[in-house]
Amino acid sequence: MTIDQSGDDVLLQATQLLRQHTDAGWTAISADILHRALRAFRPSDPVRGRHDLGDFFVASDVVVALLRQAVDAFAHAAAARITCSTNEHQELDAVTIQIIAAYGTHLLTLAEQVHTATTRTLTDILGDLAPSAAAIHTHVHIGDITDDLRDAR
Amino acid sequence: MYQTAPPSAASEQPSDQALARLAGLGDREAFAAIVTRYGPALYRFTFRIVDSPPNVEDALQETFLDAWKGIAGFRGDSSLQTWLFTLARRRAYAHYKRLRTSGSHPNVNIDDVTDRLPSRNADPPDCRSSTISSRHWTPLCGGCRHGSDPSGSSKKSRTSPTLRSQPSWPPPRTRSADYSNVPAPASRSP
Repeated sequence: MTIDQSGDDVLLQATQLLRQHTDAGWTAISADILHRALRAFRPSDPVRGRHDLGDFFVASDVVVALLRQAVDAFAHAAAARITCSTNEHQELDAVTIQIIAAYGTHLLTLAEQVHTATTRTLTDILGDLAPSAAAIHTHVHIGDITDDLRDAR
Repeated sequence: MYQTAPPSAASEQPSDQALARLAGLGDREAFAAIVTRYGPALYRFTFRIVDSPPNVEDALQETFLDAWKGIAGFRGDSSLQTWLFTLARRRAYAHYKRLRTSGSHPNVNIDDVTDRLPSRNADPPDCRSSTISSRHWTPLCGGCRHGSDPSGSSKKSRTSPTLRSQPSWPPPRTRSADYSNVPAPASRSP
Protein backbone atom coordinates (compact mmCIF):
# COMPACT_ATOMS: atom_id res chain seq x y z
CA MET A 1 0.00 0.00 0.00
CA THR A 2 1.44 3.35 -0.94
CA ILE A 3 1.36 6.25 1.41
CA ASP A 4 -0.19 8.68 -1.05
CA GLN A 5 -3.35 6.60 -1.42
CA SER A 6 -6.37 8.42 -0.15
CA GLY A 7 -8.79 6.91 2.30
CA ASP A 8 -11.42 6.45 -0.38
CA ASP A 9 -9.04 4.41 -2.51
CA VAL A 10 -8.12 2.18 0.39
CA LEU A 11 -11.77 1.71 1.27
CA LEU A 12 -12.65 0.91 -2.33
CA GLN A 13 -9.83 -1.61 -2.57
CA ALA A 14 -10.83 -3.24 0.70
CA THR A 15 -14.46 -3.44 -0.43
CA GLN A 16 -13.48 -5.08 -3.69
CA LEU A 17 -11.29 -7.60 -1.92
CA LEU A 18 -14.05 -8.46 0.51
CA ARG A 19 -16.53 -8.93 -2.34
CA GLN A 20 -14.11 -11.25 -4.10
CA HIS A 21 -13.57 -13.25 -0.94
CA THR A 22 -15.13 -16.69 -1.01
CA ASP A 23 -16.09 -18.22 2.30
CA ALA A 24 -14.88 -21.71 3.02
CA GLY A 25 -18.45 -22.58 3.92
CA TRP A 26 -19.64 -21.77 0.43
CA THR A 27 -16.81 -23.74 -1.15
CA ALA A 28 -17.86 -26.77 0.87
CA ILE A 29 -21.52 -26.71 -0.13
CA SER A 30 -21.54 -25.16 -3.61
CA ALA A 31 -21.22 -28.39 -5.59
CA ASP A 32 -23.99 -30.04 -3.61
CA ILE A 33 -26.31 -27.06 -3.95
CA LEU A 34 -25.78 -26.80 -7.69
CA HIS A 35 -26.27 -30.52 -8.19
CA ARG A 36 -29.51 -30.58 -6.25
CA ALA A 37 -30.87 -27.44 -7.90
CA LEU A 38 -30.28 -28.73 -11.41
CA ARG A 39 -31.78 -32.10 -10.54
CA ALA A 40 -35.03 -30.44 -9.45
CA PHE A 41 -38.11 -31.05 -11.51
CA ARG A 42 -39.19 -28.05 -13.50
CA PRO A 43 -42.90 -28.32 -14.19
CA SER A 44 -43.86 -28.02 -17.83
CA ASP A 45 -46.79 -28.98 -20.01
CA PRO A 46 -46.71 -32.18 -22.06
CA VAL A 47 -46.66 -32.01 -25.85
CA ARG A 48 -48.02 -34.94 -27.84
CA GLY A 49 -45.85 -36.53 -30.50
CA ARG A 50 -46.65 -39.44 -32.79
CA HIS A 51 -44.64 -42.07 -34.59
CA ASP A 52 -45.19 -45.57 -36.03
CA LEU A 53 -45.60 -47.24 -32.64
CA GLY A 54 -48.10 -44.74 -31.31
CA ASP A 55 -48.34 -41.49 -29.41
CA PHE A 56 -45.80 -40.22 -26.93
CA PHE A 57 -45.36 -37.09 -24.86
CA VAL A 58 -42.47 -34.69 -24.65
CA ALA A 59 -42.11 -32.05 -21.95
CA SER A 60 -42.44 -28.57 -23.37
CA ASP A 61 -39.15 -27.72 -21.67
CA VAL A 62 -37.46 -30.24 -23.95
CA VAL A 63 -39.10 -28.70 -27.01
CA VAL A 64 -37.96 -25.24 -25.89
CA ALA A 65 -34.40 -26.40 -25.24
CA LEU A 66 -34.09 -28.02 -28.67
CA LEU A 67 -35.59 -25.00 -30.42
CA ARG A 68 -33.13 -22.77 -28.57
CA GLN A 69 -30.23 -24.84 -29.86
CA ALA A 70 -31.60 -24.57 -33.40
CA VAL A 71 -31.98 -20.80 -33.20
CA ASP A 72 -28.68 -20.19 -31.43
CA ALA A 73 -26.91 -21.95 -34.30
CA PHE A 74 -27.34 -18.74 -36.32
CA ALA A 75 -24.34 -16.47 -36.08
CA HIS A 76 -26.20 -13.18 -35.73
CA ALA A 77 -29.20 -14.14 -33.64
CA ALA A 78 -30.19 -15.75 -30.38
CA ALA A 79 -33.46 -16.79 -28.80
CA ALA A 80 -34.69 -14.52 -26.03
CA ARG A 81 -37.90 -16.32 -25.15
CA ILE A 82 -39.70 -19.35 -26.55
CA THR A 83 -43.25 -20.29 -25.61
CA CYS A 84 -45.31 -23.28 -26.68
CA SER A 85 -49.09 -23.46 -26.59
CA THR A 86 -51.05 -26.69 -26.92
CA ASN A 87 -54.69 -27.51 -27.56
CA GLU A 88 -56.97 -29.66 -25.42
CA HIS A 89 -55.40 -32.84 -26.85
CA GLN A 90 -51.90 -31.69 -25.83
CA GLU A 91 -51.02 -31.23 -29.49
CA LEU A 92 -48.70 -28.36 -30.23
CA ASP A 93 -50.76 -25.53 -31.60
CA ALA A 94 -48.35 -22.61 -31.80
CA VAL A 95 -44.77 -21.67 -31.08
CA THR A 96 -43.64 -18.11 -30.43
CA ILE A 97 -39.94 -17.37 -30.70
CA GLN A 98 -38.59 -14.02 -29.62
CA ILE A 99 -35.25 -13.20 -31.20
CA ILE A 100 -32.35 -10.92 -30.40
CA ALA A 101 -30.62 -9.95 -33.63
CA ALA A 102 -27.24 -8.40 -34.20
CA TYR A 103 -27.25 -4.87 -35.56
CA GLY A 104 -27.06 -4.85 -39.36
CA THR A 105 -28.69 -8.21 -39.91
CA HIS A 106 -31.39 -8.35 -42.58
CA LEU A 107 -34.35 -9.07 -40.37
CA LEU A 108 -36.76 -10.53 -42.90
CA THR A 109 -34.16 -13.01 -44.09
CA LEU A 110 -33.31 -13.91 -40.52
CA ALA A 111 -36.98 -14.44 -39.66
CA GLU A 112 -37.42 -16.72 -42.63
CA GLN A 113 -34.35 -18.76 -41.65
CA VAL A 114 -35.58 -19.10 -38.09
CA HIS A 115 -38.99 -20.17 -39.33
CA THR A 116 -37.49 -22.88 -41.53
CA ALA A 117 -35.20 -24.15 -38.78
CA THR A 118 -38.11 -24.26 -36.33
CA THR A 119 -40.25 -26.30 -38.70
CA ARG A 120 -37.44 -28.80 -39.27
CA THR A 121 -36.74 -29.13 -35.54
CA LEU A 122 -40.40 -29.67 -34.66
CA THR A 123 -40.63 -32.44 -37.25
CA ASP A 124 -37.58 -34.11 -35.70
CA ILE A 125 -39.01 -33.87 -32.18
CA LEU A 126 -42.66 -34.73 -32.67
CA GLY A 127 -42.40 -37.18 -35.55
CA ASP A 128 -43.65 -37.21 -39.10
CA LEU A 129 -47.11 -38.33 -38.07
CA ALA A 130 -47.63 -35.49 -35.65
CA PRO A 131 -49.72 -32.57 -36.80
CA SER A 132 -47.81 -31.20 -39.72
CA ALA A 133 -45.14 -28.82 -38.57
CA ALA A 134 -46.29 -26.48 -41.30
CA ALA A 135 -49.71 -26.41 -39.62
CA ILE A 136 -48.20 -25.25 -36.37
CA HIS A 137 -48.22 -21.48 -36.15
CA THR A 138 -44.66 -20.29 -35.73
CA HIS A 139 -44.39 -16.66 -34.72
CA VAL A 140 -40.97 -15.09 -35.06
CA HIS A 141 -40.66 -11.85 -33.16
CA ILE A 142 -37.55 -9.67 -33.33
CA GLY A 143 -37.55 -8.35 -29.80
CA ASP A 144 -34.18 -6.63 -29.56
CA ILE A 145 -31.25 -5.43 -31.62
CA THR A 146 -27.79 -5.39 -30.13
CA ASP A 147 -24.35 -4.30 -31.25
CA ASP A 148 -22.68 -6.62 -28.77
CA LEU A 149 -23.27 -10.25 -29.49
CA ARG A 150 -22.09 -11.18 -26.01
CA ASP A 151 -25.49 -9.97 -24.84
CA ALA A 152 -27.06 -12.55 -27.08
CA ARG A 153 -24.64 -15.38 -26.33
CA MET B 1 -4.44 3.23 -37.46
CA TYR B 2 -6.25 2.57 -34.23
CA GLN B 3 -5.59 -0.52 -32.28
CA THR B 4 -8.15 -1.71 -29.82
CA ALA B 5 -7.04 -3.07 -26.53
CA PRO B 6 -7.62 -6.76 -25.96
CA PRO B 7 -10.73 -7.36 -23.94
CA SER B 8 -10.15 -8.06 -20.30
CA ALA B 9 -11.11 -11.33 -18.69
CA ALA B 10 -14.12 -9.71 -17.04
CA SER B 11 -15.56 -8.48 -20.33
CA GLU B 12 -15.25 -11.96 -21.85
CA GLN B 13 -17.72 -13.30 -19.36
CA PRO B 14 -21.36 -13.28 -20.44
CA SER B 15 -23.55 -10.63 -18.94
CA ASP B 16 -26.16 -11.32 -16.30
CA GLN B 17 -28.88 -10.72 -18.88
CA ALA B 18 -27.45 -13.32 -21.23
CA LEU B 19 -27.04 -15.86 -18.43
CA ALA B 20 -30.58 -15.30 -17.17
CA ARG B 21 -31.97 -15.61 -20.70
CA LEU B 22 -30.12 -18.85 -21.37
CA ALA B 23 -31.00 -20.33 -17.98
CA GLY B 24 -34.62 -19.44 -18.57
CA LEU B 25 -34.50 -21.42 -21.79
CA GLY B 26 -33.18 -24.46 -19.93
CA ASP B 27 -29.42 -24.03 -20.28
CA ARG B 28 -27.97 -25.69 -17.17
CA GLU B 29 -24.46 -24.42 -17.79
CA ALA B 30 -25.73 -20.86 -17.74
CA PHE B 31 -27.49 -21.49 -14.45
CA ALA B 32 -24.33 -23.03 -13.03
CA ALA B 33 -22.49 -19.86 -14.03
CA ILE B 34 -25.10 -17.80 -12.14
CA VAL B 35 -24.66 -19.96 -9.05
CA THR B 36 -20.90 -19.62 -9.26
CA ARG B 37 -21.10 -15.87 -9.75
CA TYR B 38 -23.54 -15.00 -6.99
CA GLY B 39 -23.21 -17.97 -4.63
CA PRO B 40 -20.48 -16.51 -2.37
CA ALA B 41 -22.29 -13.20 -1.90
CA LEU B 42 -25.60 -14.94 -1.25
CA TYR B 43 -23.87 -17.21 1.26
CA ARG B 44 -22.52 -14.22 3.19
CA PHE B 45 -25.89 -12.48 3.03
CA THR B 46 -27.81 -15.52 4.25
CA PHE B 47 -25.24 -16.32 6.92
CA ARG B 48 -25.88 -12.95 8.54
CA ILE B 49 -29.60 -13.65 8.80
CA VAL B 50 -29.69 -17.37 9.55
CA ASP B 51 -27.93 -18.71 12.59
CA SER B 52 -25.96 -21.84 11.74
CA PRO B 53 -24.18 -23.31 8.69
CA PRO B 54 -26.62 -26.22 8.23
CA ASN B 55 -29.52 -23.79 8.17
CA VAL B 56 -27.64 -21.53 5.77
CA GLU B 57 -27.19 -24.46 3.44
CA ASP B 58 -30.89 -25.29 3.62
CA ALA B 59 -31.91 -21.69 2.97
CA LEU B 60 -29.47 -21.36 0.06
CA GLN B 61 -30.62 -24.67 -1.37
CA GLU B 62 -34.20 -23.45 -1.39
CA THR B 63 -33.13 -20.09 -2.81
CA PHE B 64 -31.44 -21.65 -5.83
CA LEU B 65 -34.29 -24.09 -6.28
CA ASP B 66 -36.65 -21.13 -6.46
CA ALA B 67 -34.30 -19.44 -8.91
CA TRP B 68 -34.07 -22.47 -11.19
CA LYS B 69 -37.82 -22.95 -11.24
CA GLY B 70 -38.63 -19.28 -11.63
CA ILE B 71 -35.95 -17.94 -13.91
CA ALA B 72 -38.01 -18.75 -17.01
CA GLY B 73 -40.42 -16.06 -15.83
CA PHE B 74 -37.71 -13.56 -14.97
CA ARG B 75 -38.36 -10.59 -17.24
CA GLY B 76 -35.45 -8.42 -16.26
CA ASP B 77 -37.49 -5.68 -14.60
CA SER B 78 -34.84 -5.67 -11.88
CA SER B 79 -31.26 -6.81 -12.09
CA LEU B 80 -30.51 -10.49 -11.69
CA GLN B 81 -28.58 -9.70 -8.52
CA THR B 82 -31.54 -7.91 -6.95
CA TRP B 83 -33.86 -10.76 -7.87
CA LEU B 84 -31.58 -13.40 -6.34
CA PHE B 85 -31.07 -11.45 -3.11
CA THR B 86 -34.83 -10.98 -2.80
CA LEU B 87 -35.31 -14.75 -3.10
CA ALA B 88 -32.60 -15.33 -0.48
CA ARG B 89 -34.12 -12.84 1.94
CA ARG B 90 -37.55 -14.45 1.65
CA ARG B 91 -36.11 -17.88 2.29
CA ALA B 92 -34.13 -16.69 5.29
CA TYR B 93 -37.20 -15.07 6.84
CA ALA B 94 -39.26 -18.16 6.08
CA HIS B 95 -36.65 -20.14 8.00
CA TYR B 96 -37.17 -17.93 11.06
CA LYS B 97 -40.92 -18.20 10.69
CA ARG B 98 -40.65 -21.99 10.79
CA LEU B 99 -38.52 -21.79 13.93
CA ARG B 100 -41.14 -19.65 15.63
CA THR B 101 -43.95 -21.99 14.60
CA SER B 102 -42.17 -25.16 15.63
CA GLY B 103 -41.03 -23.69 18.95
CA SER B 104 -37.43 -24.75 18.47
CA HIS B 105 -34.51 -22.45 19.08
CA PRO B 106 -31.37 -21.78 17.12
CA ASN B 107 -28.39 -23.93 17.92
CA VAL B 108 -25.76 -22.52 20.27
CA ASN B 109 -22.12 -23.31 19.82
CA ILE B 110 -20.86 -25.01 22.99
CA ASP B 111 -17.56 -23.17 22.79
CA ASP B 112 -19.36 -19.84 23.09
CA VAL B 113 -21.05 -20.70 26.38
CA THR B 114 -18.51 -22.96 28.06
CA ASP B 115 -17.26 -20.22 30.34
CA ARG B 116 -20.78 -19.52 31.54
CA LEU B 117 -21.52 -23.11 32.50
CA PRO B 118 -20.74 -24.35 36.07
CA SER B 119 -17.85 -26.73 36.38
CA ARG B 120 -18.67 -30.42 36.68
CA ASN B 121 -16.35 -30.85 39.62
CA ALA B 122 -17.75 -27.93 41.56
CA ASP B 123 -19.71 -28.54 44.75
CA PRO B 124 -23.46 -28.75 44.46
CA PRO B 125 -25.30 -25.61 45.46
CA ASP B 126 -25.84 -24.93 49.12
CA CYS B 127 -29.52 -24.66 49.80
CA ARG B 128 -28.95 -22.82 53.03
CA SER B 129 -27.37 -19.91 51.28
CA SER B 130 -30.15 -19.57 48.74
CA THR B 131 -33.17 -17.40 49.09
CA ILE B 132 -35.46 -20.45 48.97
CA SER B 133 -36.18 -21.91 52.38
CA SER B 134 -34.90 -25.37 53.19
CA ARG B 135 -38.49 -26.58 53.56
CA HIS B 136 -39.02 -26.03 49.82
CA TRP B 137 -35.52 -27.06 48.81
CA THR B 138 -35.79 -30.48 50.43
CA PRO B 139 -38.07 -32.20 47.96
CA LEU B 140 -36.50 -30.40 44.99
CA CYS B 141 -32.75 -30.83 45.32
CA GLY B 142 -32.01 -34.47 45.76
CA GLY B 143 -28.32 -33.95 45.01
CA CYS B 144 -27.90 -31.20 47.56
CA ARG B 145 -25.57 -32.04 50.41
CA HIS B 146 -28.08 -30.52 52.82
CA GLY B 147 -31.06 -32.28 51.29
CA SER B 148 -31.06 -34.98 53.94
CA ASP B 149 -33.37 -33.70 56.58
CA PRO B 150 -32.54 -35.04 60.11
CA SER B 151 -36.19 -35.89 60.65
CA GLY B 152 -36.28 -37.84 57.42
CA SER B 153 -39.58 -36.31 56.45
CA SER B 154 -38.40 -35.46 52.98
CA LYS B 155 -38.08 -39.14 52.06
CA LYS B 156 -41.44 -40.11 53.49
CA SER B 157 -43.62 -37.85 51.52
CA ARG B 158 -43.23 -35.09 48.98
CA THR B 159 -46.62 -33.66 49.64
CA SER B 160 -46.68 -30.05 50.53
CA PRO B 161 -46.80 -29.49 54.34
CA THR B 162 -49.73 -27.20 53.85
CA LEU B 163 -51.81 -29.96 52.32
CA ARG B 164 -50.64 -32.60 54.80
CA SER B 165 -51.83 -30.48 57.72
CA GLN B 166 -55.42 -30.63 56.51
CA PRO B 167 -57.13 -33.59 58.27
CA SER B 168 -59.77 -34.17 55.63
CA TRP B 169 -57.60 -33.95 52.57
CA PRO B 170 -58.43 -35.29 50.09
CA PRO B 171 -62.16 -34.83 50.74
CA PRO B 172 -64.17 -38.09 50.81
CA ARG B 173 -66.30 -38.87 47.82
CA THR B 174 -69.98 -39.79 48.39
CA ARG B 175 -71.65 -41.97 45.82
CA SER B 176 -75.24 -41.40 46.93
CA ALA B 177 -76.91 -38.69 48.91
CA ASP B 178 -78.49 -39.49 52.28
CA TYR B 179 -81.69 -37.54 52.85
CA SER B 180 -82.84 -39.34 56.06
CA ASN B 181 -81.92 -36.47 58.35
CA VAL B 182 -83.37 -33.81 56.18
CA PRO B 183 -86.55 -32.35 57.71
CA ALA B 184 -89.67 -32.53 55.64
CA PRO B 185 -90.86 -29.26 54.18
CA ALA B 186 -93.63 -27.58 56.08
CA SER B 187 -97.01 -27.85 54.47
CA ARG B 188 -98.61 -24.67 53.31
CA SER B 189 -101.81 -23.56 54.94
CA PRO B 190 -104.53 -22.69 52.46
